Amino acid sequence: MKKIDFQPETEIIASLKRGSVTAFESLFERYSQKLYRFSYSYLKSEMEAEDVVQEVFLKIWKNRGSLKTETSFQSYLFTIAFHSIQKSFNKKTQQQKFHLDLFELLVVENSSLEDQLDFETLLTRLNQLIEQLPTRRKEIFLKRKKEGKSIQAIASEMGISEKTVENQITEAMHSLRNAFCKDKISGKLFFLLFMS
Amino acid sequence: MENIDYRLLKNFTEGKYSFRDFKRISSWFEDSSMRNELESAIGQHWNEFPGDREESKKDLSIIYDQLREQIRREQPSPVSLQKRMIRIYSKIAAVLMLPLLILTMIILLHKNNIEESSWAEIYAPPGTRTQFQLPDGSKGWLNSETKLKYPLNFKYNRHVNLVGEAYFEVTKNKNLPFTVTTSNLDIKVLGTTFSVSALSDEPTTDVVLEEGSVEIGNPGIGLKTVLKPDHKLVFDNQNHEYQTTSLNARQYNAWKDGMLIFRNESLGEVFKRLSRWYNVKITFTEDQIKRYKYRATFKNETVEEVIRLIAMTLPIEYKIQKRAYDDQGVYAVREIVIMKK
Repeated sequence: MKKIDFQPETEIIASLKRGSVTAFESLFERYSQKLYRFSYSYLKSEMEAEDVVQEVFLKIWKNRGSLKTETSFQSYLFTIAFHSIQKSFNKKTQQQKFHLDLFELLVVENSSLEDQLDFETLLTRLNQLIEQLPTRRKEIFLKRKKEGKSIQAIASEMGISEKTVENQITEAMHSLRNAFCKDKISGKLFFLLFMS
Repeated sequence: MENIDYRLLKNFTEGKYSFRDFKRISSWFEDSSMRNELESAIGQHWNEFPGDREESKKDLSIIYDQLREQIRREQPSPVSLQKRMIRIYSKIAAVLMLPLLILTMIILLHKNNIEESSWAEIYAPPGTRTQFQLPDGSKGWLNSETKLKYPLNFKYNRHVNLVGEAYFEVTKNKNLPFTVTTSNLDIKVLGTTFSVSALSDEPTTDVVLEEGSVEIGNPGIGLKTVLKPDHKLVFDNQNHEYQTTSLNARQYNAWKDGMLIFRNESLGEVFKRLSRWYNVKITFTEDQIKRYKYRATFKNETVEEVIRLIAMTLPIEYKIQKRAYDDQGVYAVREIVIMKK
């Protein structure tokens, strides 16, 4: 059972410097929740936020010997956290490149998409629409757009004609564009009705 | 080089942002020349960021345990004879635990963190009860839809994590307290028989002690209390108040022997327990029905039999819906509708 500690933080830090695991636990109790929520607000993923908490505290432990007792622990913790969050954020953006590029194409057709404030929802919707594509069409679409394979390569891989590949991709893009146009139109209509 | 828009950053964290906003913010993160400015802006956000709120605490104990494990691993201790013996012993303990682990893995279909974590898990699927045994000889039962986790080095660290409801018979070991952690309470025992109910969809966490003694605590709020045999502690997860009452603990924990006992409970409560026990969905056409009181004992009956018997003594009628396939060809959970007679 953990005990509550009301020690001043400077003592806890001094303890940690000497290698006290109890002190480490105490700091974890004090800051892990805030760190988790803060990371989550930027990374928008429970798993990523948990990884940040783990990475940050592991670093704190590893560098316990060189802790400076004069600086505020919270700012020290933040400095480590920032580095971790930035790394994670960039990694996530990289992983999402396919979706973002696709969204860019949709914006060409419907420019208002770019400034709608519910981008998170739109992105989820895009994901859903892709998932809901008929199996074969989805496979062709992902090979082309996500994996960047050539039409030729896809055709030979799947044993179909290049024309079929092109058609399927056109169909897929068509349905995606449709979905986003429709939503926006009904949104606008709703707005107008509301205003009158 | 543009400036960081603090307002935009904050809105982003609150989910209020457009595609254009996202592109801007991504560029700030990716541009190394903006690093200092970004750090300063996010730093300001950190300083303004609200502190912990009791209600929305995330369970980070697994993260902490993994950290502890990493700390332990990085510390090469002087290899004294005692330590060497412990190392050999823990290898043997791992081998002995393998059959239990294999069983666990068969029950669990998807756990993808087995390779990196040092935990074992036991799970009782909905509508079932599972008996279990821990490496130190302690044993017990898990009720419907309950998950029990324990570290592989359980022999030195008698710590389990529980979500759901379980009955424990803990072997005595004065030197190694046995702790049960749930979302809201920590229960420490030395050797005893008790049950814990920490269901995620219930507002309270309950501990019922049959024999021995347990210490119940919640470090975050400074709670620490000892429970006596044939007593039950009910902890309100929300407002952190608790109440202790005396009762017949053996009767209360009878579920582990396959017995369902209803002690003058409302039908609403009865059906809530039945739906969990048998993994069926029970709905009422009228709220009034929920208030009827019921008292009975069932052992190894089917749900149809139980409801038929209830309908013999109370003014209710029931209809058991035909099992439907959902769109993936899997049977949906059985549904029973209760109506007023």
